[in-house]
Amino acid sequence: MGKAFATRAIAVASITALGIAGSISPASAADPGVTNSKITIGMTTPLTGPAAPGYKDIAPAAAAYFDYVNANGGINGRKVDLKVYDDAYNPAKTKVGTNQLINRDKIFAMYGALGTPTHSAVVRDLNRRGIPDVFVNTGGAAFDNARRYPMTFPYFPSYIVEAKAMGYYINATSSLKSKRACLMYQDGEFGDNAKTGFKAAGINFAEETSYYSGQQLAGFASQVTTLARAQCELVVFFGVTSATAVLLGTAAKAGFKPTWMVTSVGSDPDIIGALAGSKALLNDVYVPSWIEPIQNTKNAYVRQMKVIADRAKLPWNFYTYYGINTAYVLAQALDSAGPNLTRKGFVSALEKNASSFRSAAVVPMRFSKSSHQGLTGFYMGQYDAAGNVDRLTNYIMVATSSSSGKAKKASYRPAGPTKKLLP
Amino acid sequence: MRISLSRRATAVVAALGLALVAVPATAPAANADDRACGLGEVCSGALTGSLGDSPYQIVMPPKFNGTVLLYSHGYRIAQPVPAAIGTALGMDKAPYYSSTTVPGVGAAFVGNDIAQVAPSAEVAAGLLGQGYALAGAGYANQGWAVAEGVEAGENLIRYINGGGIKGTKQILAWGDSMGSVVTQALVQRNPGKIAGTNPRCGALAGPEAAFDTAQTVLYTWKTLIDPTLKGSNYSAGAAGYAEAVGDLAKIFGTINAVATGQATVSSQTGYPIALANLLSGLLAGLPTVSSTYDGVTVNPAVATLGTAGALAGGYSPLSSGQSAAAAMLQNVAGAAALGIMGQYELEQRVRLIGGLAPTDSANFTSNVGVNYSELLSPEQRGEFGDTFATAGPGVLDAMLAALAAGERTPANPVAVQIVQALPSAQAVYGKPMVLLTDTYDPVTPAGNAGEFFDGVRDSKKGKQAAKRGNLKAVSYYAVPPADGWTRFEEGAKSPSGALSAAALGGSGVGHCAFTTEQSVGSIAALEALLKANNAKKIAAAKRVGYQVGGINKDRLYEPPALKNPAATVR
Repeated sequence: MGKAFATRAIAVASITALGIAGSISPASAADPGVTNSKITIGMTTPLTGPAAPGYKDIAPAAAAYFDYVNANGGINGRKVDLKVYDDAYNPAKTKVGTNQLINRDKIFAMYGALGTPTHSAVVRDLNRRGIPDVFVNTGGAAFDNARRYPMTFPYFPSYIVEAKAMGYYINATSSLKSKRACLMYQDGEFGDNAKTGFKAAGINFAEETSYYSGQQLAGFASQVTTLARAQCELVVFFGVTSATAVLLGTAAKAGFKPTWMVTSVGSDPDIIGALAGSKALLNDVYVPSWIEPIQNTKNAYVRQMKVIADRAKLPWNFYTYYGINTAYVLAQALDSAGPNLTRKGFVSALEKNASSFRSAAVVPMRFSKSSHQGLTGFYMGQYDAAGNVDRLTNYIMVATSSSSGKAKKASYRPAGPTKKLLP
Repeated sequence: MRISLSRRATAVVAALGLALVAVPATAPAANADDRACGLGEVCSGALTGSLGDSPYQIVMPPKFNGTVLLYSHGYRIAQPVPAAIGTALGMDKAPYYSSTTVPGVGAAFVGNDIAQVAPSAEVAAGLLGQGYALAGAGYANQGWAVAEGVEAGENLIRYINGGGIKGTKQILAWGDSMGSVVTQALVQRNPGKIAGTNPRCGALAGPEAAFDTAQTVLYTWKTLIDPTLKGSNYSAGAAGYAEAVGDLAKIFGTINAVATGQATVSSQTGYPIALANLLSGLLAGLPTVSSTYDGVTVNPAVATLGTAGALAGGYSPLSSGQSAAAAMLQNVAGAAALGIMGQYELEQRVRLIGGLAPTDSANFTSNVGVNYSELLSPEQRGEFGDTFATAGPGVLDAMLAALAAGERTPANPVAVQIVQALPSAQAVYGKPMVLLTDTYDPVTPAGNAGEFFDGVRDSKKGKQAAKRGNLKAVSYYAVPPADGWTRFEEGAKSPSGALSAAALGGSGVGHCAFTTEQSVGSIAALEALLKANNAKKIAAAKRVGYQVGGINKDRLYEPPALKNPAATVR
């Protein structure tokens, strides 16, 4: 009650001040998507179509977290209303959906928009309109560009950072460094980022092969043959989860058994289990990660997030975990912008306060006026036969998305969660 | 300020760089009726000008409301276009193209000078029903005939004001495509005679920008698909015409071969044709949707066969990238004739104006030093990177490297000066203006209107008016159906052009593709702006247009900026 009164009082004061000044500069009331009782947030993500498996769980998880926050008083007295548009991972649909979110739903900010091709189609427009565009769900390094996209804030580390971290770990691990290393990647931005990162890390591959997005439907027999002929002992694979499933399955059938290293975004055990028949294909596969392992329910973050997921009857998988986690960070960012919520104030809060936001991430987050990098590094993990990631390094490897500069070893001890996981 | 005919004639001729020839100083109408056009009548004749005679037509409503709408038509190709291509472009059905026969080419269509009073009979009927008198002139020459269009318009205004239409209270100017440049040039030169303007689908950034767009496409084609294309710097006279027609035939033939599945990869360069063409359009800033391909809709076979099954069965499109590549083939085919024959015509015009020797270059566009990689924005690369990757690793980078290494064509500075001196639309605020633009225009990309409107709004007078809320200028964008328009016959391997066009409903996609309601609504908005005398009423007047079906409801919409090859030259 007191809080609500305070908000109204500030709003009245602002309007009065504006009236005196005769100005039409923005006040909280002028920014779309914010009322005294509600903050409207938009998201474009694939809920249907070939890209939906896994990704479709992110939005319900975020919504479940916001329901939880709303039931506990909201953020500075306002409830969060998450509007989700299913773009089926089709950039043309993303444009339609983003327009709807902006013009029909009058969103305050875009959150968790998923995919490089899809988000590339709208990122300029969001920035031109001054709409905060936070925690983009892609590691495409192009979005880590505060000068070109001052309103855009990636969350997880870019693919360049991931490749640099992989390179660091390979160089630092004699059992891997001695192997004949090869690379397979997805053509396009994904693979380009990988090659940039590995080049900066000083990794030279004995063989490189690739596939194009969608080619996994036709199988990877020729790529596996190429890798096997090259006598690859360590294969680093930079591709999406459905391609990882096809690659591991094809290689297993062909009796090709190198040491595998895959990306954090391309190895969801549940999807691989569903597509390839068994999660065990992932056994012993190296994977970088930036988040507390999901099976570690002793961790306070994991435990509390699982409770929220269970209460909402959501499947407990990486995407649910991830969705709740980023929603939690978003809630803190909104809270830190204060009761007089404006887009400008929200962006400023992100740039100033990011290091204080709590989350299940185990690497630091970096936002400033000049850098919108987001999370800055990885630890190295390894899958077991059940699809769980075991953390192999107690250190983390941090890097930037620059085309030069290697990853560096660092240590980081994240703070514990806020009370009841509320902002 | 009134300008005498002789001074106007001098100005036009000087602008064209032509030697001033003896022009009758008081020759308003060679064949004009000497009586007013009566209510319900259609009157026509010809007006004599320094650049030649121009036919005019006036159509009077049954009940005249006092406003005359002066229409300036768009670009008409001045040289004969082979019949097969012309028919594909609809020239056989367009009254402003005539059949002809050209030795060595055969049957062809060529732009004529007939007067046009409105973009279509339906729009004319709608406006006549509201009491407007419609007037329009043909131009003495075709091609980039802005000067001729301005002269014809001025002569017609004089004729109207001289009693050709009795009871005229005001004249509003409107025009399509190049006609919008004529429209703005008219009001700039005759602010006291024209009360407001409605430029539509305009090449408002001028001929250099328009032909830069075309040249980006042509250079990409020449480098990545067919090195035998000439593209610019056509020879003088008949030899140059043969070169231009040859280029047009090659591009149409190649696109047709791709569309019918007879070709996928250039036999001359090894690059995939559809993707090279997609790249050409992206670099030029052309839309990635067309009247058949909306980017959103995939072949329904995916639902029954799955993506892999549909792929194996030859169904398309299966992705937004595939849809964009197909749309770009359609868009380039539609714009090629204007781009190639337009380049040739303007070069010939430059030759005439500048008195260039046959061996001199008449090329007015240069791509020396252009950084083509920079023309592909990071956002386009992100959106279509996966699409290019379907052709194999590094194909996009290889194509960009080839473009970087390709032979460039310099402009002749004299030709550039001549083109820059042609009458043009100046982005300054004067009379009330309603812009109407297709969101996805493959000939004059919407950025033309966006940048022109920004210039008007940001001009000194525009800023002053905007500050007071009195800016009587608005830019409307026609939009297509949000949920897509690509349609299929049952079980078809690819979309139906006819069904898709019908679903599109003639709004937002194509060159000057507006519904009758949008056309009539824009005039209504202009009328409302003229009458509005305070900020509140001006805002209400702008709402008149926004309320029309298929007009953008998003007031903050801005089209992508025009691609500017010159800005990438370091």
